Amino acid sequence: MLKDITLGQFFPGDTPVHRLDPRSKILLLIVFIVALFMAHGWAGYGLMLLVTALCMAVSRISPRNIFKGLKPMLFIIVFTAALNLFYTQGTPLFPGWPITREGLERSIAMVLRIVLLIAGTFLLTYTTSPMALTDGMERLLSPLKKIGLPVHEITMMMSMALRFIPTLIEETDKIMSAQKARGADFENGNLLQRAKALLPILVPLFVSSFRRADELAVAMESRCYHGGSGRTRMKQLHFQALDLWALALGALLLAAMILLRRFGL
Amino acid sequence: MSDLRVEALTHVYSAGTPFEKTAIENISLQIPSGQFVGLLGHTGSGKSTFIQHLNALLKPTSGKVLVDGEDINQDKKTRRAVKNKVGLVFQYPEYQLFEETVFADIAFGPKNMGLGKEEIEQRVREAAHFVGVEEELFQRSPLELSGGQKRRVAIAGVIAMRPGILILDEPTAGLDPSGCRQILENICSYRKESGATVIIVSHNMDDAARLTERLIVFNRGTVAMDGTPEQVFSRPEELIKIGLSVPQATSFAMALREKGIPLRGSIYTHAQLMAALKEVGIC
Amino acid sequence: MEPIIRFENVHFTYPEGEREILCGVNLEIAEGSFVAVLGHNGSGKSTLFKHMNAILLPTSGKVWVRDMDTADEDKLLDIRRTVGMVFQNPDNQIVANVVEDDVAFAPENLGVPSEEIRQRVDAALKQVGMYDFRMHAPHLLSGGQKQRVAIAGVLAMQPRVLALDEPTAMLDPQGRREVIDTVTRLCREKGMTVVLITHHMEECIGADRLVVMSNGSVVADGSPLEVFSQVELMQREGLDVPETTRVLHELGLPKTAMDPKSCAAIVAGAIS
Repeated sequence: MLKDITLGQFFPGDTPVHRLDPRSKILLLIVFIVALFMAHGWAGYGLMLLVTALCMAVSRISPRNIFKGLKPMLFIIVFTAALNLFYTQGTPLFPGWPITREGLERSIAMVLRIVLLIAGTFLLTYTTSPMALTDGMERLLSPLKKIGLPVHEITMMMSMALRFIPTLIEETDKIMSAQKARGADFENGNLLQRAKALLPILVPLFVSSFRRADELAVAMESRCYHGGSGRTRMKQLHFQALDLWALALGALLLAAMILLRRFGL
Repeated sequence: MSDLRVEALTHVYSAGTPFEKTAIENISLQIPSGQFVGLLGHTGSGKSTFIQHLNALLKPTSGKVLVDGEDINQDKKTRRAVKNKVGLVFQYPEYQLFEETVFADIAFGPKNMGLGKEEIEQRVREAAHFVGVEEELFQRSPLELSGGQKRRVAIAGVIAMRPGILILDEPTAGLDPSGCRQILENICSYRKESGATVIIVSHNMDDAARLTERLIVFNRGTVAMDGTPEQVFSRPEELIKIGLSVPQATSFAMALREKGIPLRGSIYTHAQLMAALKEVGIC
Repeated sequence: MEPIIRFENVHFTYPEGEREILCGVNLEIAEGSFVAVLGHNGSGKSTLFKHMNAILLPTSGKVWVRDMDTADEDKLLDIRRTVGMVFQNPDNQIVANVVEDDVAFAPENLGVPSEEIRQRVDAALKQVGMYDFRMHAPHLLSGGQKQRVAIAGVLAMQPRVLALDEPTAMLDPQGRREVIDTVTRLCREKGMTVVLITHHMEECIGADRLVVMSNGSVVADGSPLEVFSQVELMQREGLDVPETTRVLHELGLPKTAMDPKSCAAIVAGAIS
């Protein structure tokens, strides 16, 4: 089950989407999210769906990987859908049914919104190496250094977290198996019992995370890490013509969505 | 004391997806009660997947696992009950220690079995004794112990469930030579006194040769060789072909024979080599 | 030849500890040599290791890396780029999600220009045979491959010494071979000084020199053949010796070789 979590995964490739500067991609994701929240009618959602599908096609990220990433969110999606489906006032779809036309529409719209939001985010993380991603973020946020924000440290921590997610997931799986072999029961009992049953997993996980952090710190120092000052980068970020085009398309999308909203479509 | 039968066991990971991977295929074997078995095979040969089927941590894609003649995958109850009969010690088991005291950690398994307080206490003492953990350590935090001690406490945690079949996945990994020897002695003494079936996964050919009565060699998800150490190590070329080595004594005996020294019999331990050299009149 | 690392009567006790971990170690590592350090757990070998790039500083005595005192804080980066360290757990020393980004980490820290980093990364990955994996995610690699990436990450600093603390302890036999073959090749072909800390005696056989540590002191020092020949000493230290040496020893034959072929010849010679 834990292996389904795809956060922090990256699928290397050489498509235009992969080649975009991470800063452009982060900006585009923001544009995408704003545009998504502009969507109001079917035309708006249709356009967003089309744009997402297009980006997926260009970046050669298969829908299967997006769906895999959606799996852990399934509960939230179904819950939102049900909530909107049953609790929206309006004209019943069929006489005597608790489901209204408005409810159905809203629930479809909400599900689309969540799915597209996640899909867009995954498109960014799937096509951008975490190193480039945090690097891009560091550069975008660098004006904030002036007001004393430790931008380098924050982004470094983010990239370490991304790096260790798969390792910790693997480790959690192992510890769970080991405790199950000693008869631990994670599936039965009331909420309190279940919460207590997590201790045999969480304690070893914490202990090992501290050990890892310790060893990692020594290893990083041994490789001459001494904070952000004087650091260079192997992969320098360059805005290219491609980025300009992409950003222009992003602006176009935003404009289109604003127009569509104005006309209530 | 339990016997084990595996019938046409197959396990496919991520079945039905493009990531589909057959880890073990059509494995059938029988391990009689009380046998000391070594499982050999390089990483990815399927031996880890195999042992996780023996206490129902993994469900077979097809095939059956029977402990004392009973299918362990009948229902939820049997899948749970088998964990008391088949103890599985994972690699680096010290990473699963979590209780505040050594005593409580060893008692975790017996407690999950629903045993009474006295019974638990007796089992903890017994298990600690088998692995040479002194009672003075009972109230200490397991995290304060040395690496070797931690490992022995973790093994005691499984032994305390008094499994009829004890499976250990590379119990000596990462320990220094004396730490290795100690753990292996502990396992042997547990086996001798309890009569349990012991299955040990190992990369160390010398240990496997010295300790076990039977070796099962995995390769690409199937059983490549199965027999006494004598039988298995008499086919060194096959072992080397699947990326495994032979005990040092075996390879030295091979070199000695090449030089025309007529050593007799199958040689895979130091004692055997010395005895064979004596036979031909050296020393 | 001028030693590249020199321990001068090094004592070490942890600030809160009572027991002395290193008790007056004197050791010189010659440039370009392959030195193996063998010892059981708690013998002080890992503490010795951490003194080589100023992760730990001696309580008394001195450690010199070339002409730099490891206690000299101004020289810290120079010392660390001279002595590259590889640790036991491959997972806890890889910092990036992509192999080549990880290898670039050290030169980036050192402020090396981008184009040169690229060259160093490619060269380092080729030296350890991991170039084809440069775009892979490290957590999907085998243990031996991860350790080779870790070695490449150190090589990208262009160090003079490659020091490894039980780099094979968590690996399977295949991974062990990969790592030992890689460091041996780096020493023999590139002239890299290698210091290998281990408790596997088979990994020491190919070294130029074998140092045995026990209770914080050096108890044996010489060629692997010389050291393993002291069978009683090794057994007293709880360490293994090669089967060939053990047999020759018990037969009372001269221990002038370790490989099965030569040893078989010695035994055969004794009969006729």
